[in-house]
Amino acid sequence: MISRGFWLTVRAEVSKQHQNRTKGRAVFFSLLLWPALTFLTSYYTMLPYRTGAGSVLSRVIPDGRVPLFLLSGYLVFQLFWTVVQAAWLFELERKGGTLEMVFLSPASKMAFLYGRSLYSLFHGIWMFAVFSGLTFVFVADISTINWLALLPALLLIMVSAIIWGAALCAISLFSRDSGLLYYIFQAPMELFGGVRIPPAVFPAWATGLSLLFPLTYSLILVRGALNNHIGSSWWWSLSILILGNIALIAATRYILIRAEKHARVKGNWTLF
Amino acid sequence: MWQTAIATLVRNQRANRRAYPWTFTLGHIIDGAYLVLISFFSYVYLIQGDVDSQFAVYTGSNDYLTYVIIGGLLNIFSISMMMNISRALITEWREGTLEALLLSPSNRSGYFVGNAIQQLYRSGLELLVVLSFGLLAGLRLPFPHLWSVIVGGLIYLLSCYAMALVLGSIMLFTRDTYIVQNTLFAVTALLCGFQFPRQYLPEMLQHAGEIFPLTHSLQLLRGALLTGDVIRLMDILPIVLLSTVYIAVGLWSNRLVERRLFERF
Repeated sequence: MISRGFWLTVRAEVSKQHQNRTKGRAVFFSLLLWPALTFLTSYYTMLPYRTGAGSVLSRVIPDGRVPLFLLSGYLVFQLFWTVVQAAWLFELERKGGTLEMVFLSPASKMAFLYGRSLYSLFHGIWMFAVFSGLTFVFVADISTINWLALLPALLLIMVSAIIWGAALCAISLFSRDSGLLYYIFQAPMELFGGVRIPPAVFPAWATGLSLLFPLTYSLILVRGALNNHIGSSWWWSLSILILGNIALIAATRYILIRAEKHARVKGNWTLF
Repeated sequence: MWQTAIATLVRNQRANRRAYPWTFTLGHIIDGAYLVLISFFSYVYLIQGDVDSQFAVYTGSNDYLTYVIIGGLLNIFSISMMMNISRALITEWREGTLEALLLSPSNRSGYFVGNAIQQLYRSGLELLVVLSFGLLAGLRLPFPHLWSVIVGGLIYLLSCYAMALVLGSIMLFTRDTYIVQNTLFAVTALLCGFQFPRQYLPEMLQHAGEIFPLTHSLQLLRGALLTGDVIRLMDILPIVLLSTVYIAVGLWSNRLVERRLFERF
């Protein structure tokens, strides 16, 4: 179904990104140091909450599992956040004038977006993933982990992040000021996606908002697998995430076509 | 000095109004609202007010929500102040006006003070918006000792200003704003105790926090607001001394970096 040209473009885009973005210094800070510091800050912010038998907190997060809860939250958040950053950097492609080259070439534009998203994800996550992996080993009780659920869930989440990133890139085809993405998605996604507070305790309006982010479902999947609580809500999240991905691919395609039409009408000689 | 300060103030004001979108201001407001909201959600929905007894021992108050909301407000305010003062020179460089500035006989302290005062109203605006969120979320201030709050506020401003000068020279030296500023803000968020009493940190990190004048001035100002503590001269003396050191280092290193700036490229 997918042609050879598609994969060729994906590979080309990945290697282009790789040559473009291998700046060691920046990567270390934004992808390891900041998330690690934010994780620590959140952990200490939760220390004044009463824990132990009978405390309100232990009803929501099992006793002694706060570090694991936060760490899984930040790891999955970081997966989605790196692709948001990629969409945010998309404006450089316009400013550099390379976007119209891509548009003029016969390459599949969908492949271009997915290649971009794919590279950002792996480029962005490996350091924090190693950090989380090591921390897991120290803080987690490995015996409760349901590996059979965790590994496929992580795989699905990575695919979802790539699809989500490509959709955001497609949206930012409409505007030059994609800096707004940064502000819309960072803080609200962290809060409503349930990185620090499980959405289960939210009031109704906030639950509604949290359902909009794929991060929410992904966290339910990961935390369910980590604590070996796989109930109906886990299966529900799984199916919603898969269906959402399919819908998002269709939406990306539609937005891309609209954006191209829009550019033909509103764009100038240099396309944008 | 004041002439330069006023000239800088007027110029920045115009440049901001005419040329720049308000993305930063909007961003700070969203961040501030988020800090308030997440404190509120944590307190009301996650733990339903069930705070550790140790918290009152450390802070002298039971009002967790007010404590964290004040912390969140002051965090956003300090980020906004530090970011815009420290970015002043590197922005000049990016816009191409730095050479003109270096050639003019204007006073450098005046330049920074002008920047700071101009920034104050923008940060103040952000603070007011976020404060109204805070009041909605349950921020309750007891009747504070007015004089102490004023002194605390001034000292807080002074420490932001002092840290911004040093930060600015690092930015100018590395020619980077993004990494330098965000690293500092990630570190201050952890070490200064905006969102939690610093006593919860391991001892080593508590000591590390002392190198920022922001840490103690935050505690003084929050103490004055939260529990009506009276600020004494002896409380502010170490902060003033530390800030003076920062300002001296900042001005000195700025000069050093400026001198080499055009030779390097």
